[in-house]
Amino acid sequence: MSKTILIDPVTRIEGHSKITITLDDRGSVENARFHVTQFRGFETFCVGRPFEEMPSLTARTCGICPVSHLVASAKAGDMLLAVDIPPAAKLLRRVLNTAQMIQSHALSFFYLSSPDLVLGMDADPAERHILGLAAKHEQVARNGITLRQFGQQIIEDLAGKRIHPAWVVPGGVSRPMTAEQRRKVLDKLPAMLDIARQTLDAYEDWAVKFTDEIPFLGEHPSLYMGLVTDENGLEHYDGHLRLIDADGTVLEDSIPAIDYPEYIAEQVEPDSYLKSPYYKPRGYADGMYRVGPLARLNIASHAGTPVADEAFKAFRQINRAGPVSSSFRYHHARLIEIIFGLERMREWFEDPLCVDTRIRAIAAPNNPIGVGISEAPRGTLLHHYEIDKNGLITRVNMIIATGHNNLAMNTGILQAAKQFVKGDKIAEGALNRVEAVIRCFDPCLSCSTHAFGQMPIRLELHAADGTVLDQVMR
Amino acid sequence: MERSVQRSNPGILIIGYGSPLRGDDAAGQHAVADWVDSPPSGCEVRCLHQLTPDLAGDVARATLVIFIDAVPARPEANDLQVSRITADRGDFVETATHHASPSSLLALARRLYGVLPKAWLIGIPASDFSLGDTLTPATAAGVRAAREIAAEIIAAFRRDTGVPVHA
Repeated sequence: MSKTILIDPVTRIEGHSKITITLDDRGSVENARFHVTQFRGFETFCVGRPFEEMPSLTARTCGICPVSHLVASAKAGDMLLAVDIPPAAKLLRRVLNTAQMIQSHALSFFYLSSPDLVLGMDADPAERHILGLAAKHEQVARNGITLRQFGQQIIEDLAGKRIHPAWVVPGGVSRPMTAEQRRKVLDKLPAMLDIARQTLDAYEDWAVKFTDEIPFLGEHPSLYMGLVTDENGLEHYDGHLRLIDADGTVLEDSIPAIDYPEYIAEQVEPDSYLKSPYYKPRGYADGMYRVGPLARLNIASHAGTPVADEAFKAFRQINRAGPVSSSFRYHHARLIEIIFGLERMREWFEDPLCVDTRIRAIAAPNNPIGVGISEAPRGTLLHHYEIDKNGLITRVNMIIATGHNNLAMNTGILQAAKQFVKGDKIAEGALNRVEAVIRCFDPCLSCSTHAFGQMPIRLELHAADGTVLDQVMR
Repeated sequence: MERSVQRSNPGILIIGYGSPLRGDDAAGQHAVADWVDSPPSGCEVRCLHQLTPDLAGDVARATLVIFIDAVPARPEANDLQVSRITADRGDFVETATHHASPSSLLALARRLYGVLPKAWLIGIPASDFSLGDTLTPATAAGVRAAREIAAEIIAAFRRDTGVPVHA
């Protein structure tokens, strides 16, 4: 008789979900599935709205990633308007997107994952959070709080508020940066960069402790997708969409945003509201790819800033310059992206263009279809809108970073479950290791299902006949 | 980083929080909304969706913190729920790693920055948390009362501590 283990809710992720692990007749792990159980329906209820509303409407998809949606949505709006936005507007959008990247990566690394990395996978679950971390490693917790606050404060200062700002609009942004805002950020940047560098050094010590486990925490071949610059550098806002295979061979380069349906299809599974996108030419599920920090570092040839370039080289040496295939390394990649973002910030804020007041292109809609692609903290974010002659939305498709990673997350938890789950009871350490694979991706389930409200997660152990043998709910 | 917090200019921090899209849950935000642009002398005012651990530094820089939030109305007593609070990590549940309670925030401030400001929580009775951006009449009345209580707490704190007003 086979059995099923249920983990519900999965903890320390953005949103709620559950994991089921099915055992075969001999009690060995046969399958593992990650289920996202909520549904929201933004793609449907946005139909009929004026396209100018889309950035603000879609930002409501999530309280963690509203800025990412603003940026992708506004880029889709730019295409509808058929405008090339002013250089200062592009720079300011980059600043906001990077501030979001920094605060979100800090949240993921310090608040959600560092309790595992620093305190250990087998630490008391009652202590595995930011306060438990603070009790034993004050400086690490302080650094996390400081770095996140830095990113959040830039968002608040520029865009008016930290959650659901409305500053990014089709055609540009709605207000310029002030000299005071510029000075404030420039003053803080050196200290933030120090924190990021210290954390990367510390991470390398922490990661050594997981050397034996890393091969079982989502290490598998896959394709990788993301944006790169024209010079093949790391890119978060614009650039061109690239897809490589597990060996690093470029499969697609410069995929035009509007042509994405030729390359990406979305599979619907009956047990989750989270769709499973895949690379169409390879088919489902061989077309599994990963996006986000790990993928971005795998598809680029360098970062593009001095300190991040050094860190990038070391990162790519993990697999002798080939793509790094362990999802555990998302944490490492996240830290390099924080450094990259801070260095880019310094360039942008030292450029007088940042306080230029020409920040918006005004036009009526000129194209019936607009597709905006940008890099959110968790990976490639795609907004696709179609409008009628009055500028009212007739169709919406949003493909979210966490969705892109769905097949890889399922592959990763199956690998971890096979290694760590033994018998028909869930040991705490095993549970945490399966969850830790999901946390590597820093999934945002609210975004990925465009879901409503809070979403917890659960782990179940099932027998072959479907009987629930054990479950954990937190 | 900020191990020692400069407290040469002791301040009062007022944080009103709650979801502005969930009816009465927005009571805390309503209570401080008018103060955001013109705060009482010597006060810093924050109007937020929720408390997050990032606020620990701001809390540690204050000498008095007043949290204003909506609380479920009790049938037997529909008055404001006003209480002195202190650091407590007990309610910092694992799933809440990107939000915090007032007492866990105080605990974090004490742990990371070595300071524990005096703190009060003003709970405004609320009954309707459904989607919407208006308050029920009872909660709207509670908002007004909360502002008066906050002003009393500030006045008493200044009287007791002799902390001067910083404009």
